[in-house]
Amino acid sequence: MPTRTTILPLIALLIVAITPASSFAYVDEGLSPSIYTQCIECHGATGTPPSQSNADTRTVTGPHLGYAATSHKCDTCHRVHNASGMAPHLLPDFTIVATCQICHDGTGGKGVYGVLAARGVPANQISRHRVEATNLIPGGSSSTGGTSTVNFDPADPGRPMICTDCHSAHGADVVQAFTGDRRRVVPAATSISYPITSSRLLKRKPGGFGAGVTRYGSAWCAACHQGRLAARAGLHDHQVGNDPQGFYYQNVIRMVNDTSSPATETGTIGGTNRGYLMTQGTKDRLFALGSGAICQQCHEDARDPGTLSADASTADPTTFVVNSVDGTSAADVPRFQTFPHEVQGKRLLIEPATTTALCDNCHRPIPPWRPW
Amino acid sequence: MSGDGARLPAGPEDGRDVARSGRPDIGAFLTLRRALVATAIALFVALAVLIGYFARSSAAPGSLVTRGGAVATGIQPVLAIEGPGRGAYPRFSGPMGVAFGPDGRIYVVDTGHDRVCVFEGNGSFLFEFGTFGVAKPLPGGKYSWKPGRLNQPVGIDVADDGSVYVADFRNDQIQVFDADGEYARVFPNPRKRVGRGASGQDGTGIAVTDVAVSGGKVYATDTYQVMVFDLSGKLLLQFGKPGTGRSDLDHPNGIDVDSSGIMYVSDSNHARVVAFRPDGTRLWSVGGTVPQMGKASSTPLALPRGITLTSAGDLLVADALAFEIVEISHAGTIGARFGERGVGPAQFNFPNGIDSSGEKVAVADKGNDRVLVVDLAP
Repeated sequence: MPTRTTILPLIALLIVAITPASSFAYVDEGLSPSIYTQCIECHGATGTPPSQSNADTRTVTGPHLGYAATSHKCDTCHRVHNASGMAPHLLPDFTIVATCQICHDGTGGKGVYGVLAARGVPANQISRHRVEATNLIPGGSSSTGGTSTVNFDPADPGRPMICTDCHSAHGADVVQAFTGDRRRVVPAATSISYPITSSRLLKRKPGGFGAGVTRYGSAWCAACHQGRLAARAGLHDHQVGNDPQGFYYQNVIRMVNDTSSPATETGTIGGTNRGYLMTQGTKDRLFALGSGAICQQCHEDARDPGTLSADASTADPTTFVVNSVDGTSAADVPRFQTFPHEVQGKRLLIEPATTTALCDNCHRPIPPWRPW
Repeated sequence: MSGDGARLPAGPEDGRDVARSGRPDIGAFLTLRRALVATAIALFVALAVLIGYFARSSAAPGSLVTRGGAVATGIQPVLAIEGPGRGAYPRFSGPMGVAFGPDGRIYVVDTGHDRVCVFEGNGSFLFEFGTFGVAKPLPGGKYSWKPGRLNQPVGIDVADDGSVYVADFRNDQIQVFDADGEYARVFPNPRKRVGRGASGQDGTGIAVTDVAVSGGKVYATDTYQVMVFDLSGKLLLQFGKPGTGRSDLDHPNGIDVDSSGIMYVSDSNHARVVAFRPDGTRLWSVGGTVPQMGKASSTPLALPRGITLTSAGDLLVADALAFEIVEISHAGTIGARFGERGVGPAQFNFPNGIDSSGEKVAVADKGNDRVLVVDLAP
């Protein structure tokens, strides 16, 4: 016969096994307000913007930014006890990407990933920055301009790219706030003036690479795509500039105003007709205007890049037109602000590279009278 | 007792005798004893697992249902439904809406799988309907919608006659099914402008985030508006606009309506609940706009999404970022709070949808990929 010492554990095991809620065997005690104070004592209020000029002027930032002892925001994404079994950083889902997508599911805006598939676009017509898929960076090699393999996380070699390689969920050390090239809702009866700006929580060192950039533009992209910058020795790339030369997202050739005037100027994008315009002509002219080509002029949401006159002083005012919010109007260009997450088209290009349209934006077409 | 070394011991008593006798077959005997004990343990474990399995699943064959659990923070767990337990997708993927039918059935919007799953009140799986279909493709996209196909459904309500209304969010329309999941009709036309316009793609249809049926009318929330239809889909009322005014809306994600026609709206991005009279004028609101960053947040609601009226006439709101169910009186006073963050039977992970029936409350626990049915005991 089994002894008492044998039977008791078996009975205990039996009881545990047949208890209906055996998988729910613990109770989370929750966090008291004082705990949040303790969070900040060690982790700091990382959401505080570096300066007022960099402030994200949108009123709602959700759980991102603005941490204080009374904000209780830490608890939105982190749990000291009883986080999901395999969750990193005490997060509620099993991966960082999955955690982000709990909220960023499309209902709050038009979504990040999955927007185009939901519009019936076949997978082979969608290009994207593939999260949780690869650590290969096209144009990542500064020496050859080719693809490079990178370690986004020295502690986890080979880890593929994830959301937090480019975005700081805490809003820490982010780029200066900038306007997107889509019309955003301006709250009525507020002091917020258009255009509304946001840092998009973009890190100054995307992927942890580079010396850090303060403004979103070519230099920001080049932190990873180092081989795509101009002036790399021995390489023949397009003349995209970098930040110190004034080539960034907020200093582009745009329409002077939101009306039908064809006049152009350099400045920030935004408004109903102030997207950056494509630049035909020489780079000297661009330098003279104080705005060069940036990565986003060719790589962005599918959009009409506009057409400048030869001296860049005027442009077609009907090209970049954004009158509706959230890309709801088919007449608006661009329609969805899903770049650089996913874009309808190859290689995240604004227009198909299979035609001359993309090239003709900057390179004058060969006159038909040419003999060749 | 006598015998040779090859003789098997008869039992522990014999074993002790053998041990004391100092015979050379002690090692073999101990090995055999361990084997017998191990076998007994293995049989007990197997039996226990089988009993546990059948105890959990026998009442709801095929469903992924857990019953009961510990009371915590005023919640008595009744059921946790994790999916139909069969078919191509036995588990839910981010369910965002739930509704009780008049017969006690539980209708779950399984958003990630573009379907609705239907269960008996005890959690037994009955059937499912819906699959992925695109009604408004982009240029180059593929039109794949057929009646009954869904594209990121996010909200649901069931009328008194059992008709099921589904907020077909990405297709900018509301689809109606009978109680058995047979397609009935769709409105508004997702390719036509609705009233003064709405937030659907191309400015047509409505990007409907929740739907409610009451008093022969269908109520829907759009990105910045509330729209009221009759049962045939004719637009009766449209109100709301973006902004921070007291009646303005910013991504409302929940609506319910009482018998007098008062509409209760979860004004999600304003972190408040607003009650509107039947004519669309504001009656009251509770909560407030989330302050700008760097300032302390003291709003009573973080991100209200699903909302439902209880049989007592009060409101229950699923606060996705507070991980709570918040009780609000019909007059707009914050009451009890239920639940907390976690994966336990009385815990939530980004709760999104909610409905009540008698004493039971069903919550679409989106982040935990399940629906919880609970009793609330403040």
